[in-house]
Amino acid sequence: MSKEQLEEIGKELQSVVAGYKDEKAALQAEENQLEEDLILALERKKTEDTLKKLL
Amino acid sequence: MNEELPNQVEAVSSDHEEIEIPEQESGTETFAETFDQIEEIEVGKDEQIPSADSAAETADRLHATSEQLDAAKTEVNYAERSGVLEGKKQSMREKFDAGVRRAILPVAAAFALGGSPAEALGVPTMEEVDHPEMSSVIPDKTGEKKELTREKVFETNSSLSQSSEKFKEQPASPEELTLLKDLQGMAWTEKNEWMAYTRRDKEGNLKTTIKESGPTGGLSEIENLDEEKEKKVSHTHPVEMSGSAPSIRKEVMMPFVMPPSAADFGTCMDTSEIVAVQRVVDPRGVWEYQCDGESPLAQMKKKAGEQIASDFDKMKADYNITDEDLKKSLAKASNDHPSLMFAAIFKDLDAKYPGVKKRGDDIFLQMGMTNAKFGRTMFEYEMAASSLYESSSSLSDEKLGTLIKSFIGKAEGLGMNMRYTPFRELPEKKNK
Repeated sequence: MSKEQLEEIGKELQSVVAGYKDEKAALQAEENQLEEDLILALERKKTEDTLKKLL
Repeated sequence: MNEELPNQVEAVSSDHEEIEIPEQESGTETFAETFDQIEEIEVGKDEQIPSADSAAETADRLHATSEQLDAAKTEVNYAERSGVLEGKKQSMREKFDAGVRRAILPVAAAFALGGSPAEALGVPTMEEVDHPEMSSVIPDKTGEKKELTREKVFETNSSLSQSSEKFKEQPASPEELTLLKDLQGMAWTEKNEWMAYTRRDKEGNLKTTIKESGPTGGLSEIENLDEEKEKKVSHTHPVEMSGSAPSIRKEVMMPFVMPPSAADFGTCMDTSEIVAVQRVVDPRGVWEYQCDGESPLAQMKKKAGEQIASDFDKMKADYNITDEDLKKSLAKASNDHPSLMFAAIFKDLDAKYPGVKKRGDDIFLQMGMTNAKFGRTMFEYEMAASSLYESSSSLSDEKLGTLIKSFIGKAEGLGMNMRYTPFRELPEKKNK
């Protein structure tokens, strides 16, 4: 194959890898947000339970 | 990925960056890094996204009870959100796999089929295809030609002269040496590749026929020589094959080289038992190569070739595609590189047989899914060959010799044993 054809394939592969990384980073952020929301909800629940016990 | 891939193939495919690449080839180095990243992702070595089901650990860390965790999960709609995340992860991975396979697929297909889509598509005869006929016959005995020796034709002591230890010498007769010199000239002057079939007939006479070669390959012709012995197949890699050819041709002859392609490699494996030696004649010298038809890679090639040929047979039957239509489509695509021919053929057939293009794409994708590592290995071989060619025109003989030696070593690891020998003289017209 010509160098141009190889480069075209190589660039397509680079694009696939870059797309994967971008998508993975976005999913990571989404996952982090879910965990953060859960932690906040848990802390609220714990606080509520503690208050109920004190009251 | 194909877990049956032998270790030696893995090793060769993973270290191709050892070929030293000049500054202007930095893009190729980046591709090597890309392959490393692909490998990491495919084997799961890349940094993993923490599992969405880490809620229990979070609760543990916060010393929360299971009741509190359940309540918190309900509040943040945890089940649905984590389910969506898992789906996205799976989709991301599938998209990645499909993208990688689709990009590498053309090379894998060309290699698996030995650069001969006609055979995989089951075209019964090549005669009616737009395919150049034999143009001349070189006489086998003339006094002057007999005086030629390998030492007179080749610069065997040059640093460019490199060989695999496993390469088995196949002495060339004076007639063959004349042929190789002629082919060298044609590598400079002819636009297309030319092929030469040399063999000894039943009476012991050496015969050579040459013909202009199209992308449909010469495997059929080689197989038809089964009654004769000492079969040797040579073909040119003309300077016109390179995008930079016009600039090179205007300048003084430079020591650039064009090694056998991945498709040549495939043909070599397919014909390892019937051809004593294959040769690529580039403008500077001759690559001689032999393949181990029993090598792990050759076995993988055979498996991939059988799979795709079987799938094509089914496609032909399902769509009632006639051989005549197949030949017409093949002829239209005959100027494309083998790796690009299939897509062109399917697209052309789709006009008369709606659905063939999608079916063809599916066949390729399936092949890529089951032979991805194989395709990658051949892609990397092709990349290494291309890099060697592209960098060769700017290097000293000593440096280029080192690169050739490295390339030959890698090819040996894949089951192809090579020797490269530069011509002693360069074509006069180009050596001014």
